[in-house]
This record gives sequence, C-alpha cells and structure tokens, in this order.
Amino acid sequence: MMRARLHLEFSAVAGETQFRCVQQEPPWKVVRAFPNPSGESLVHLNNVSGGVFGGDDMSLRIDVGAEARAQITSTGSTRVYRPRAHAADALLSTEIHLGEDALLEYLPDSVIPFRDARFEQRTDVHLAPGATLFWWEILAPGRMAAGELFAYESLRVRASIRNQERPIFIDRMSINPRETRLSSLARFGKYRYLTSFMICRTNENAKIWIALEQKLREIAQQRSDVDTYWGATALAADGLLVRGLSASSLAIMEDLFCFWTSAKSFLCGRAATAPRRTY
Amino acid sequence: MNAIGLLQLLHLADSALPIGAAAHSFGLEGMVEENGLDAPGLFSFLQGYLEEEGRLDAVFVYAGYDAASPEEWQRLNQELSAMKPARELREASLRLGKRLSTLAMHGLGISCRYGSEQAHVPLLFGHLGSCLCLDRDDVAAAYLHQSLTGLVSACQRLLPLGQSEAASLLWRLKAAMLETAKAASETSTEDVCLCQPLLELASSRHPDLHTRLFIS
Repeated sequence: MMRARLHLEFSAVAGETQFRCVQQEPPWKVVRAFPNPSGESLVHLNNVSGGVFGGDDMSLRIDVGAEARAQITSTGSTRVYRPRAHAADALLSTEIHLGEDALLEYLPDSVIPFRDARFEQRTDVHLAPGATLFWWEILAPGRMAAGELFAYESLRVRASIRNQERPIFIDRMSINPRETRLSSLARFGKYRYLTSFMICRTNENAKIWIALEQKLREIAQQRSDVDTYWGATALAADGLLVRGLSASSLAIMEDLFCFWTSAKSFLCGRAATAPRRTY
Repeated sequence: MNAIGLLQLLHLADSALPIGAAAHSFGLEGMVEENGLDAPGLFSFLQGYLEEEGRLDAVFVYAGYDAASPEEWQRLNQELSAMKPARELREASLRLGKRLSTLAMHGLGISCRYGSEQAHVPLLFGHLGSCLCLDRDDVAAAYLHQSLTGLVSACQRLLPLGQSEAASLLWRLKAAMLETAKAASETSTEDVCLCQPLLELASSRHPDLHTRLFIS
C-alpha cells in the first residue's frame, strides 16, 4: 500500500514556460520537462511501481500559472492490479488549477483495471478566465488479451471541471460489472472501451462551441465505423465533450489525435504536438 | 394523499400536458436508427434507462422538492446542466422546464418560489410538488411514470409497437419505477452517478441523422 503525492508547477517567465516539481514521492517519478515545437512544456508521468495496487492512495496536483503552457502525459497505461482481499480500494486523485490564459494538455494513457480490481479515480479541474484545457481519458474493460472483459470488481470515475465555482462538466460513473448489465443498450451496448475528451476554454462566446461542435461532429461521423462510435457535443458552457465507445483500442489514439488537432487549430490557431510518435 | 392532491399530480404527470414533451425522443431516435434498439429489446432498455437517467432525474426531483433558497435552486440547475453533457438532452430538459414553469404559473395559477429563470424539468416538477404540498415520494414516482410514458410514446412512432404492447410495457415497468424512486430518495445530488455513454452518444449524433421525427 502506497500513499504518494506528486505536485507539479508550471509558470510563465518571459514568454517561456518553466517547470518545477514541488513535491515527488515514490512511486511517482518525473524527470524533467521538455519544450515541444508548439510551445508547451512537456512532462512525462512515471509510476515506477508499475501500476496501482490495492490500498494505494495516490494524488497528483498540477498548477499551471497564468499564461503558462503545459503538456502532461504518462509513460504507459495505468494498470490497476488485483488487490488483496482486505485491501482498501485503490485511489488516484488529481487536482488541476489553470491560471488566467493558461493552457494544459493532459493526455494520459488508458486505465486498465485487472481482474477483481477496485479503483476510484477523482479528477477536479479549476479554470481561471481564459484558461484552455484539452484532457482525455480512456477506460479499458480489462486485459482483453488475457481474456479479461469487465472482470474488475468496481470502477468509480469522478470528474469535474469548473469555471471558478460554476460547474462546466460533472461526470460520476460507478461501474460494477458483477451487479450491472453493462451490455444494456442504455450503457455500453456492444462496445468495451470508453473514451472521453474534454475541450474547454473559459470566457469564450457560446457560438464558438456550437461551431466547433459542428466541426468535430463531422470528424465523429468520418471516424466511426462498425467497431467505433464517436460523438461530439457542446457542454452547458465553456466547452465541449468528445466521447467514443469502441470494441477495441486499435484506433482510439489515432482518432483522438484527429479531434485534438482540429480543436486546437480552431481554438488556439496552433498545431497539436503529440507527446510521442505512435499516433 | 387527499383527493385534490391526487388529481393535481395526475394532471401534472399526464403525458398530454401541453409542454411539448411529445416532440422529444430523448436520444431514442438515435438509439433506434444507429444502435438497433427494437421493440423486443425495449423493456430491457427501459429498465437500464431507469437505473441511470431515471435515477439521476429522480434525485433532482427530490432536490427540487427540498430546495430551500434561490441560491440552492440555481446551484442545482447548474449541477444538473453539468451532469447532462449531451446538448440535446440538456436542452430538452431546460425547454420542457421552461414551458412547465410558464404553464404552472400562468395557466394553472400555482405560486412557485422558483422557476421563472432557467429550470430543468425534474427540478421544477419536484418544486411544483412541494408548492402543492404533495407527497415527495409520490411526486418522484409520478415524474418517472411521466418520463417513461413519454419515451414509450416516442417508441410507438419509431418502432412497430402497438398500443396494447405499449400499455403492457408501462404496466410491467411500474415496480422498477418505484425501485428507482426509492433508490433516488436515498441518494444525494453529490453522490448520484450516471453511466449511459451509448445513449448520450446517440443523442450527440442525433443532429446528423438523415431524417428526424424528434427535436432530441
């Protein structure tokens, strides 16, 4: 059982983004930041233990100061291992604060809950005026190659994005495959992977989101096929959600990259730089 | 419940109440067009719907019933908007809320404390129940009954579903409606969860369907 905290801070200094690791406890490991061609400061999150174990209580705090630009990714999927019988549920809580006109691209790899895993992931994002967020998350049904399909015990995913105090997006999912028929058409239907891509910028005109929704809906139509089902929809304010269900993981990253490049060009007038070359 | 209260609740929960609900399928049109929802699978789908969207809405019916201040009312509406990411589903809830509010205040003469501004229909329905001193569990159950009746009615236009089958379907779902209302009464707005990605996706893609019978 691990209790570990990681605190990352990005600040803008003379037009450049500087990175500081305020606190770092194992198994978290961050080495350094790398500037990328589109102007973000890229940081890789490592978990040197190889995954999340029963009873783990891991927390991540990200502060992106006014006008700073950050891109954060992981070095691999978050593997959630089978816990010991009496271990508490594993917890990963992330708190993100974006300052005025800051930008964060938070692009972690998928979460893979192994057989019998019990896991809770909480992510709370706070946006100051003019802040921009690109954040995706991918939930896998388990180790498909090992024949695990929704073999975990429970997965709770809680996410919120707020413009100061006003909620933009609240997502609370509690998935208990042994108690709930996930194949119901009211839930996952025939699909297995759930991908969510949140795109937000505060203080933007509402018409912008309708226009971007139209653009991303076209991509959703193009990228959907018999195994993949994408949609895009404007949130109540300040953002947009791209969501996808898919039978396999093969095309998810490539599809996400299409949505991301289009949305970033539309909102920021800049290219999106993938944190690695495998998209 | 006294006789007048019963009649008022029946009136408010009548699917023929002129607030425009018949123009919405709440994502079902996309489910039928793109995801193979059919008449034989409807009972199972609606059970799942009750456990997800039904419970979320019922939690907010209770919250609307109990809302104690304009600030809480506004916060609840903002939270429900944030929990309904699919634009058409969210806008349908707000549109019906607005029309119900107008009808209640100006057509039915109900003195509402809230709802003159934007209001989601589950919250407003709960609030009207409170204003009329109706039993809160009955109000939540009636809301679910009204919602399911609307969905089944939409399915009658989308699927080969006859009137007798529709009536039978709704009759068999009543126990599930009460279970949903009971679960909702024990759940706070801070704890309620929702997992219906396929329905939300179908709603998100609804604007791009080639032919559409419904607004949502």
